[in-house]
Amino acid sequence: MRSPAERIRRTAEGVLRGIVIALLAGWLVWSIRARTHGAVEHVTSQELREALERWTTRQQPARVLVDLAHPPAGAERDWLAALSAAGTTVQWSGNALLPTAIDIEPRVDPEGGATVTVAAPESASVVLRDARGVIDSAAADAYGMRASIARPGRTIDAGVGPVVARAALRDSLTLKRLLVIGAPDWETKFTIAALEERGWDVDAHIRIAPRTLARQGRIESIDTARYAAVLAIDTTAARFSSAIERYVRSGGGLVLWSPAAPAFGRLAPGRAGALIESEVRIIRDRTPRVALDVMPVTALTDDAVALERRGDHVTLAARRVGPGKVLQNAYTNSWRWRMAGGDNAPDEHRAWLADLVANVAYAPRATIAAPPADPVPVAAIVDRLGPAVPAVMDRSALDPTRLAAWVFTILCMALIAELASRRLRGVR
Amino acid sequence: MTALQIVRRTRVTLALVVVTTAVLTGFAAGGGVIVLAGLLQLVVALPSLVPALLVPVATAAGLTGCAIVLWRNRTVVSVQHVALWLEERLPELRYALVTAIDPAIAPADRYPALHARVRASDTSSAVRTAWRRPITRSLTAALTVAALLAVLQPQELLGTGGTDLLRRVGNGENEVLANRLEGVIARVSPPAYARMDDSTVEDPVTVAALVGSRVTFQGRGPSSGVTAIVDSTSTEAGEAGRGWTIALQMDTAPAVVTLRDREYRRLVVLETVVDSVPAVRLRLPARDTTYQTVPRGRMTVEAEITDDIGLAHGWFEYMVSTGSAEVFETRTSQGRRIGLDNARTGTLREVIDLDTMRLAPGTVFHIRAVALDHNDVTGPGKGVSDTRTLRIAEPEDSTSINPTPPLPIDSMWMSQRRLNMMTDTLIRMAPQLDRQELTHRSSAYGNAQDEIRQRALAVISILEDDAVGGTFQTQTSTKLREAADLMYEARVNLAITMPDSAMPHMIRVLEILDEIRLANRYYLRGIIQPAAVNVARVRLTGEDPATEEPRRPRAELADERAALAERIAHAASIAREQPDAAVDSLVYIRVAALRLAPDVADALASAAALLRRGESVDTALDRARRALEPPPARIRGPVEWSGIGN
Amino acid sequence: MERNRKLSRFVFATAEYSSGDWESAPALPENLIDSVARYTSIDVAPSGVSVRLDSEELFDYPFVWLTGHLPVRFTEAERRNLKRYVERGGFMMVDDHNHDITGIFHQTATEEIERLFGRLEQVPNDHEIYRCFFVFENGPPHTNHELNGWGDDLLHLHLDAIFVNDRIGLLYSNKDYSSEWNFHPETKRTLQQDPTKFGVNLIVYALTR
Repeated sequence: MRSPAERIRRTAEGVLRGIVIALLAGWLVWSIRARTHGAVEHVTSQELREALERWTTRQQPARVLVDLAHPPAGAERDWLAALSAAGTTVQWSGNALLPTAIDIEPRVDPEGGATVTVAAPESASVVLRDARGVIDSAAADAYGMRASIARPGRTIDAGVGPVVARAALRDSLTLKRLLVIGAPDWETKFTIAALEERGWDVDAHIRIAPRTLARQGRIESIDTARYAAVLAIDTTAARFSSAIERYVRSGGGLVLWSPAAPAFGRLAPGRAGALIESEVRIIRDRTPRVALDVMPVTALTDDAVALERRGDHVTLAARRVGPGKVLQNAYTNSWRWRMAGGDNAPDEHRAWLADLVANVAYAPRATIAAPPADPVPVAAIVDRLGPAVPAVMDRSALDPTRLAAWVFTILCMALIAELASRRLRGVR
Repeated sequence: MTALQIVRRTRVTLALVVVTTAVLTGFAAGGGVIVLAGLLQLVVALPSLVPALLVPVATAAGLTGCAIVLWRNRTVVSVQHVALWLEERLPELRYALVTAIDPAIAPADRYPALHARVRASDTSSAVRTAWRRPITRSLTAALTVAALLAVLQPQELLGTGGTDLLRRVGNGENEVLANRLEGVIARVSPPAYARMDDSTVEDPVTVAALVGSRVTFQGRGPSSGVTAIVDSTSTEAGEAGRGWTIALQMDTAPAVVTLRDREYRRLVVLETVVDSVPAVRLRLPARDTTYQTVPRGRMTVEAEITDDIGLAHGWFEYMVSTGSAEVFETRTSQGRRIGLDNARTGTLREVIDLDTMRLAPGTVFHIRAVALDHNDVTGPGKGVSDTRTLRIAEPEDSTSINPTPPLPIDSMWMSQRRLNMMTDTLIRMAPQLDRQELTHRSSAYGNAQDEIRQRALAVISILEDDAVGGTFQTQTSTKLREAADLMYEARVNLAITMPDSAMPHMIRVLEILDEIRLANRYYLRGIIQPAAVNVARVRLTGEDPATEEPRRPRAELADERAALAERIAHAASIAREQPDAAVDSLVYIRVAALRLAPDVADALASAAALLRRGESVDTALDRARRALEPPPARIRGPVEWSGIGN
Repeated sequence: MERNRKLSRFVFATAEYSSGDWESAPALPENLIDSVARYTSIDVAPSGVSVRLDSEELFDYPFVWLTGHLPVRFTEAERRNLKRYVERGGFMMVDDHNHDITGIFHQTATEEIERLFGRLEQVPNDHEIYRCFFVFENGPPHTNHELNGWGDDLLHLHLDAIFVNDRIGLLYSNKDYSSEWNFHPETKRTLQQDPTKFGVNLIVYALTR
C-alpha cells in the first residue's frame, strides 16, 4: 500500500513528465507554424542596425517587424526597402512617429533670413534647431508652425517628438530695386526711409509741384529687370497704372496702399473701404497696428486672400495676377508706428514693411549646393515601406531565442526534478 | 719611524678625514635645503622670492655645515691633540706617545724603550676605525640628498634664481629666459579723487578700473624686451627690483593691451568704469508756477544729489529774464557753493530773498541745481537738475485771446507805400494838371494820409494804454508817435496842395514803419490763435522752380550685432586649429561687445577661459551668436501666402 | 476723421517747451503754410498747431519749429521726447529769435542740444536742403536782422545740424528766421523777393528726404 506521501510524489513526477511532454509538443507545433508562416523577427530601433547586417549576411527572415521609436536614418530606411525588394516582408510600427514635414524658403529681403514652415499635428510640440542650437520651440496650431528666422544655418531641423525633419536652403536670391511712388507726405517719406535702412535700393518718385519732383533714380521703364516690387502709396501712382499693370502681369510685385487702390482696380485684391479711425491711441510693441487707422480692404476678389484682419475688417489682402503678386495694405499712416511706438518700434516697422515687400517681390533664384536633407521623414518611410502596422504585442514572449532559452530551462528543471524525485525514492 | 713622525702621519690622515667629512656634510646641508624647497613646491605654490633666494641659502647652509665640522675638529692640526687622541684609543701606550713626541722631554737615545713601545703600538688600526664612522655617516647623508635631488629635479626652482645669480655674478650670455609673462599681476591705483584703495589682480584677463586709474603690470625677470601695446602705442617695461613693470593709464574707452615678451604674447582687456555725473533732483520748488502777482518774501529751494564716487560741491543757478517782443535781458546769478565732503549723497538747501531778484510782471524766473563731483581726470562731472520756470503774469496775459488784427503795422506800411507812390506820381504830373484837379487829388491824398495816421494812433493806444509791458513796446509806440507826427505834417501839406513839401515827411514815415515792421515784431503774450490760410485760394499761385535735384538715398543701417556675430563665427572656425589666435580674437570681440551686448561679453570671457584650458568652446560660442540674433518671428495663420509677421 | 486728416497731411507744428517764450513768432506758421500752398502741391493743413515737447502728441508731427528769446532748459520728459523724436526721423528746426550768439537762448539751447546729441555740425552750403526745392547757391539766405546789424551784429554764413544716419534731424539757426518770417502772408504781394522760400525748402526736405 502506498503511503500518501508516495502518492503525492508519484503525482508530482507525473505532472513534471507531463510538462516536459507538453513543452516538447508545443515547441514542435510552434516550429511547424513558424515554418509555414515564415519566421518573424521583431526588432526595435536600437537593434535595427545590427539586425540589418544579420539579415543581409547570415539570415533571411521571412518577415520582419520593426518597432520604430524614431525614424530610421536614410541609409537604414533604404536598406529595409532593399530587404523588402529581396523578398523579406518588412513591416513597421511606430506610434510615436508623428507625421512631420519642414520647408524652408529664403526671404526676399536684403537682411536675408528664411521662412520655415513645419507641418505637424495640432498641439504637437515642435522644436526648431540648427547647427548652433535651439532656435525656437512652440506648440503647432491648426496650420502647423511657421517662423521667420533672421540668420538660419544651412540646415534647419524640426523635432516633433522622436521625429526630426531636416530642410536645407537650396536657393539664393537676386534682389532688384524697389520703386516707391507717392505724394510728399509722411507715409511716403517714412516708407522709403524704412526700406532704405533695411538695405533695399529704392527709386522714388515724389511730385512736389507740377514741374518739380523729388526723384531718386529714373522711371524709364517699370519692369522685372529693374524692380523687385513697386509700392504705390496714393493716387500719385495712377499715371503709371498701365505700366505697373504690365509689370505685375509679367511677374512683378505690387504693394498698394488702400488710397491708391482705386487707380488699380484690375490689380487690387479689393476696394478701399471708408476710413476707420482706431479708438486706441497708444501704440504698444505687442500689438502695434491696433492703434493705426485703416481703410479696410472690402469687396475682395474671388482669388484674393485675406492675410490679416482687425475684427471684421480686412487689413491686408493679397492676390496673384498672372505670375505677379499684389498686396493691398489698409493701414494709412503706418509711419506713426515708427514715430510714436514703443522702444522697438522703428525696427519693427521696418521689418513689417520689409515683410509686405517680401510677400510680393520678384527675385530670380539660383540653386546653390545644399547639404543632405530629410524634410518628410515619416512620409519617406511610408513611401518606401508602406503604411505602418499596429504595434506588436509584448515581443519578448515570442522571441524565438528567448523562448528557446525559457523552454530549455523549464525542460531541464522539470526533467531534473522528476529524476531526482525518483532516485530519492530509490527508483531508477 | 719616530714617535713624532707617527703622530704627524696620523695627523695628516685625520685631517683628510675631517676635510672629507666637512665637504660631504656641507653638500648634504646645502642639498638638503634644496630638497626641502622641492618638497614644499609639490604641496604649495612657493612665493616668487623663494627661487631667487634658494641658491644663496643652500650655499650658505652648505658652507655652514662644512664650517661646523671643521670647527669641531679643529684640534686635528695640533700634534699634541693627535697624540692624546691616539693615547685615548691605545691605552696600552700609557702616555708613552705623548711623552715621546717631545724630544726635549724624552729624546729617543735616552729613552729607547719608550720609543720602542710607541713603535710597537698599532696606530693604523686606531686611525682606520676612527675615520670609517664619520665618513660613512656623511657619505650616506650626501648620497641620500643626491638621490632626492635626482628624484625631485628642482631645476625650475634653481633655474630662475641660478640664472639671476649667474647674471649678477658671472656670464649672463647664452642664458635662456623663461616666459616673463607668466605670473603677471596688475596693480590698479584709482585716481586720487576717488579716494579708493589700490587693488591687485593676479594673472589678469580683464582689469576693470575707473577712467584715469593707473594700471601697473608687474612680472618676473629682466625688463629688457618686455613691452605693452595699446592700440598702436607701445610702452617699454622698466626695472622693478628683480622684475619688470609697465604702467598704463585707463582711458575713456575699453581697450586691449598686448603684453609682449619675445615670441610670447598675452592679451588683457582694460575695461573702463565710467564715473557717472551726479544725479540732481530739484525738490523745491516742486513744479513750474505762474504767479498772478509779483511774489515777495523768501522762498526755499532744495535739491537732492547722489553720485557713484563722491560729490564735491553744488549750488543753485538763477536766471531772471525780462523783456518782451524782441528785446529780452537775462540776469544770471548763482547761490553760494555748498561743499558736499566727498559724500555720495547730499542735499542743497537755500533760502532766497525774492525781493532781491527784481521780479516784475512779465518776468520769467528759472531755477535749477547744479552739482560737481571730484573727477579731475575727465573734468568734474557736472550734474544738473530739471529747471523750474516761475512766471510772473502780465495783467493781460490771461485775457489776450483777441485775435490779433492782421498786423496793422504791415497794412499801414503797405498803405503808406502806395500813398507815397501816388503822391510821387502826382508831383511829376503836377505841371500837366490844372489847379483844381491837383487840389482835388492832393486833398484826397491828405485824407488818406490822415486815415493812416488814425490807424497809427490806434496802435499806439493799444501798445501804451493796455500796458503790454516791456521796454520795446514803448520804443515802438515812440517811433509810431514820431511817424504819426510826420503823417500830420504830410497831411497838412497835402491839404494845402503842397505835395512836394509833404513828400519828405511821407518818405520818412515809410522808413519808420519799415523799421518797425522788419525789426520789431510786437506781439501780445499769451495763447497763439492759429490763423487759417485759405489754401485753395493761394494754391500754386507762386512760382514752380522746376527743380531736378535728385534725392540722395539713405544708407542701410549698420547691424552691429550681426557684425559681432560674424566675428564670433570666425573665431569659432579657427578655435580648433589655432586656439591661441581664437583666444586673442575673443578678447578683442569682447571689448566691442562690452558696449553693444554686455551679456554676450561675459559669455565671451568664459569662452576664452575655456579655450585657454584646452576645452571645446563650440557650444559657448554658438550660444553667444544666438544671443546676438533677433528672435524668430512667429507667423500665424494659414499658409496660402508666404506669410506676414505679427 | 479729424485725427486721420491731421496725420495724412502736413501740419505745421510749433514746439511748446516749459522754460521759454515758445510762442514768440505767432504769424510764422500761417506764413509758411501760405508759402507751402503757394509753391507746392503738398497737402497742408490750413492752420498750424502748437504741441508740447513733453507730450506723446509730439510724435504726430514729424516737423516742428522751436524758437524763443528766453533760456531753453528742457525737462527730463522734454529731453527724452526730443531725443526719441530726432532719432526716429523727426525734423526739428531750432531758431534763435534773439539772433545773438552771446544771448541766453543760444547758450542754453546749444547746451541742451549738445547734451542730448553731441556737438552740432556745420551744414555745408551745398547741402541738398538748399537745393531740394528752391535753389540757394550760397547757402542759408540772410535775414534783415543780420543785414541791419541786429543782435550779435554778425552775418551767419552757415546753419548747424544734428545728423541722424546722414539726414538732418535737428537744424539750428542763428539767423532769426522767426523774425524774418513772422508777418502776415498778404504782405508777400508787396515784396520783391519772398523771404519765406527757404522755409519751403525746410518743409520739402523734411517731407521727402
